[in-house]
Amino acid sequence: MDRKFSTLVAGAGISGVRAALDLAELGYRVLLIDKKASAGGILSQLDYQFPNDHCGMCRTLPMIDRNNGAQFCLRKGIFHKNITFMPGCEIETVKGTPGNLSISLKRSPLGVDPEKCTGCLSCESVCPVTVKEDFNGNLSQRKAIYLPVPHNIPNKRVIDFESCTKCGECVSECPTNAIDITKDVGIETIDGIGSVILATGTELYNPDGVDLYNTSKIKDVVTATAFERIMSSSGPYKGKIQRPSDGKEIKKVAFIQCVGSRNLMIGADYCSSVCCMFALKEAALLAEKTKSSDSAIFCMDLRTFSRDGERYKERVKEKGVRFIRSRIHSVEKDDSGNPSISYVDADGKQKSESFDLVVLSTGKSQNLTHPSFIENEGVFGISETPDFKEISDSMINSSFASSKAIQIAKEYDYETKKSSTQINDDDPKLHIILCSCGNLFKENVDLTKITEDISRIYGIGITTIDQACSLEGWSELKSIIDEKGVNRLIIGACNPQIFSTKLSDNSLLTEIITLAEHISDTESVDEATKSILSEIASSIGRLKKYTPQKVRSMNISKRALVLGGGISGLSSAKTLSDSGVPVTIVEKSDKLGGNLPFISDETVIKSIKNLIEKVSSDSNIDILFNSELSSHKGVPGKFESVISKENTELIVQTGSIIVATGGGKASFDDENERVKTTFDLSIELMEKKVDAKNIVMMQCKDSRVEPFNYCSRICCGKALDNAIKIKEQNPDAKITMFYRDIMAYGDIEKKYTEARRRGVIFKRFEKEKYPEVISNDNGFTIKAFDFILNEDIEIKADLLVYSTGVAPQVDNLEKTLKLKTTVDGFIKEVDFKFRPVDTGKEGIFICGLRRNPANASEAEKEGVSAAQRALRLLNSEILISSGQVAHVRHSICSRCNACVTACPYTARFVSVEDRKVYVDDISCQGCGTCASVCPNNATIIEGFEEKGILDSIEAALG
Amino acid sequence: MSEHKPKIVALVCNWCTYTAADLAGTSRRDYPSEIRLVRLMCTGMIDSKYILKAFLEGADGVFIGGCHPGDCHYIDGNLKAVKRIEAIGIMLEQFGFEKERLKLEWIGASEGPEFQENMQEFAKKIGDMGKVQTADRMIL
Ligand code: FES
Repeated sequence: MDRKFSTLVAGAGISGVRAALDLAELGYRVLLIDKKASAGGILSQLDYQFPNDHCGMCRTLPMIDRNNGAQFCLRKGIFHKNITFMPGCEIETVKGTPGNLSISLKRSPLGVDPEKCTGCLSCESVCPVTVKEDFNGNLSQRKAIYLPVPHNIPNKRVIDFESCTKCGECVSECPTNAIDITKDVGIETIDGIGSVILATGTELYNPDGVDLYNTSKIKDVVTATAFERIMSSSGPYKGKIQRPSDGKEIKKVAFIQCVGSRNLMIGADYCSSVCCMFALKEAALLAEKTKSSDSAIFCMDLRTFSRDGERYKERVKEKGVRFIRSRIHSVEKDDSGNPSISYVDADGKQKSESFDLVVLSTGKSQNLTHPSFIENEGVFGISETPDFKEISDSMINSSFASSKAIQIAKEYDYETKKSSTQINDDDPKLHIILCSCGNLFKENVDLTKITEDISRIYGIGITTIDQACSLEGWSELKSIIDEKGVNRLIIGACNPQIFSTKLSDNSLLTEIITLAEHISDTESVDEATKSILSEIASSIGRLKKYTPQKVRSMNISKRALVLGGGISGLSSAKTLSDSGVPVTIVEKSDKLGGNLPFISDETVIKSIKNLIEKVSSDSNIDILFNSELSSHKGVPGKFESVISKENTELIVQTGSIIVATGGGKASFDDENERVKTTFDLSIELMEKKVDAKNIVMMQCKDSRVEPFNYCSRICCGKALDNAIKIKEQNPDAKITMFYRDIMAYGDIEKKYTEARRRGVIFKRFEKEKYPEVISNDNGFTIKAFDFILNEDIEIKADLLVYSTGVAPQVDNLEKTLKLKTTVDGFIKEVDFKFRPVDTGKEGIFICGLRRNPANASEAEKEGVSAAQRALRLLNSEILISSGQVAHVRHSICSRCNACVTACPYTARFVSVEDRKVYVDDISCQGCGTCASVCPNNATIIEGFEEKGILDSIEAALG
Repeated sequence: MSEHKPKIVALVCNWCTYTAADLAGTSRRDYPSEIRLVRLMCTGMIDSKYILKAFLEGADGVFIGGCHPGDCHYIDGNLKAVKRIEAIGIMLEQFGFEKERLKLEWIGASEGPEFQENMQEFAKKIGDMGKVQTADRMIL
């Protein structure tokens, strides 16, 4: 039986990639499939992400056991030697049991053999079929044979068989016979798979289906994704921000929120969770790029419930973007051809306004369900239903799923393979392989001159291979390496990146040259030849001077320290222990469970109790009560922490630390027993009836305003639960909820609908005007402004409930562990989107309420995700350092410590024993910042030695 | 002046600007041939010596391309580079080089067209400025 792949990951969007990398980083082999012809999912269309309005996707890539061949922009494709990517595939059936699943895949033909395609474009030029390019939101056109994602490598064409007429023009035109249009959809069965992770994501709502505002005919109404493409440099207008109908520059845009979401008429009783942030980001980008300021977001609520969302929204507002609370009536073209929106505003007045462009914030498509095989044992979904999630939530959910897959891979003993290889450090034996890429380079470059010059000047041999990317070419290449005993290789080809991943197994040093970049339509063969020669010379310079270091290994302390015995800490500890890592939990109080007493959901309570049970009885987990971390030192893999416990101190050696000290209810004091917090009320309601008749709920008490300017994310849901419960107990109770935005993201929207159905009254207030409360003998009078009546109102209440939000623990850990915090005191992750549980200090991870507001199940998943990250370090007893790290030449180091402060990974430290500066190989990422600040040249970056770079600069100018 | 074909070195970071260059040139090169790319991992890695070396080796212009602020793969290497490059600019001026000969730009991974534009613009400007006058006289 073939047991090659421990896991099959279906869906190669960012969630699938995260899950696949989690497994691959531990050495397991993964089969990654996607029904599309390329990887990357929706993120391949998006250049910018909230909250820094840039990308950062590459930060998802492995940091320990880095594969030097795969150090590229992740949007170009996923290259990891433990991951095999199969495009055009979907799962048909899953049979068997975990550890031995048999999966049949439906494989759609791509039409082009990627081994043969050289990306020469001749097929595209003869293809007679032109269709709209979905990648660019249907705003540009492509052929039936095309490149699915422009920035992907390798840039192999595929055929879109839905529009292909099978005329056969391309088949005869292709110089390498790469095209086959006769193949049909095939079924392929793969056996011996340990488990399946379903990361197929969801589909976007198609606004043309049910044309809610009759906009399908108006050209200047586009979806949010299409607008993102309009703003992209690689988009339909090459970065010129113009509108589709007449090419006029776009300055003023209207965003219509909740298109296809929160709409009972079409059965969409949910919130798609990401569209508000998406619209805010796009509005901000537009304002920035065009220096315009008159855009508007038409919304019901603006759901900025992620930790930094509130402040982000305010920054966008400062750029002049307006938020208009409204119901859209219709969208039509005005007399000058601009789309114009008619709407009813918050005061109930009918208004209309014209814009350059209207963007529909489309959410997820309704009625999506997971395929039935999700029920099969050994199949794990990233989410319960096909759902939209903000990137960091997706990352956390993915790791939650991959941790289960890892359990299975371990249990059934799948083979693991790490990628660090010892680079051959014999005397440099260089060779150059150039791919002539069919006839492309033969015609455009003087290959003879290159060969002669290089051998004359440097005495280095060159071999030309006809098509290095084909199967034959590849074996030719390998045999040349073996034959000549080469240990340094320069490859020049159209897309040489593919080779570096393939070659990373060998103990070879490779330099890659993208030949295509030197050929231009406007310049002569001479020019191209000269510029290739100079690049080869430049690479020779670098490779010759490369002195590979011995791969070092380090024994690690295979134990994890979990700070905090709350929900996230418990789930972390459990995951680690299940993977065979011993754990020490340090808990400040005398019991486990953290915020358990404030949880009112019976199922959640049960599962947490269950978790406490398991952790307490786990012999692999030590629990220290009434204790705290007092100091800490060491490097990842070998931390030494001092724990103080009731006047004694003990030292714990661990390889990794997980910060899960949590947080809790924000402080709130009110003597009056008729005043409660939402949390307290929810606990009370578990046991008894509330006798009040007139209940007023006030959201965002001391929240989303300075100094606590963040949304606590869980209060709205809890308040809605409370309201529904009271109504169940006493349908006559009168409940009024004052709110700013109801943050009923995802399926919490259903509760919002339910509460309204039961007659709960919702009244919105503005940030600046918190409703005034006057208490009197019989209760309270609440004075507020009613937007619908457009006047001041007074409401009487006999019970007042405040949603007071949550706050992070005050524990000084940021100082002890030297971590960064947000202005609100949450511990900050290194990259909000792509590395949500990494602190930026290798080996130390953060999860739960100490990082951001979260509900119990979110905190639990974060805990698992953090454990998952820690496992990269703790999975084996020995850690082998990647190549390309920094070293210190102690003999010339003046110990000025400039490098220690400059290192972004705190990988450098001064040893207490000998006062010398050392580099921790595991934390070092080889960025070279240290080398450039060193006044004495005492720092060397492996692979980027100064001598080599200076030589290559010289050669480039030669 | 038109006879002089300028020599330009572009030091680009592996993650963003190199990707952009790659994207611009996936099929064919579309930036001036006098520009030679040298790929480094991050702009934070750029030592003052590299820039000086380039000028001493006869470069007429040095272009540095990195990720947008906030986008650097290594968190903030690019921000550290800004300060250093500013300083070198001042130093170059004192040696008699026009400071325009050293240029730093942020070019994101998807910004192929921006890469091309920047390259053309820079090559044109350097071409118009002509040969570096100081280099001949300089003995370092
Ligand atoms: S990685 Fe691009 S500037 Fe640092």
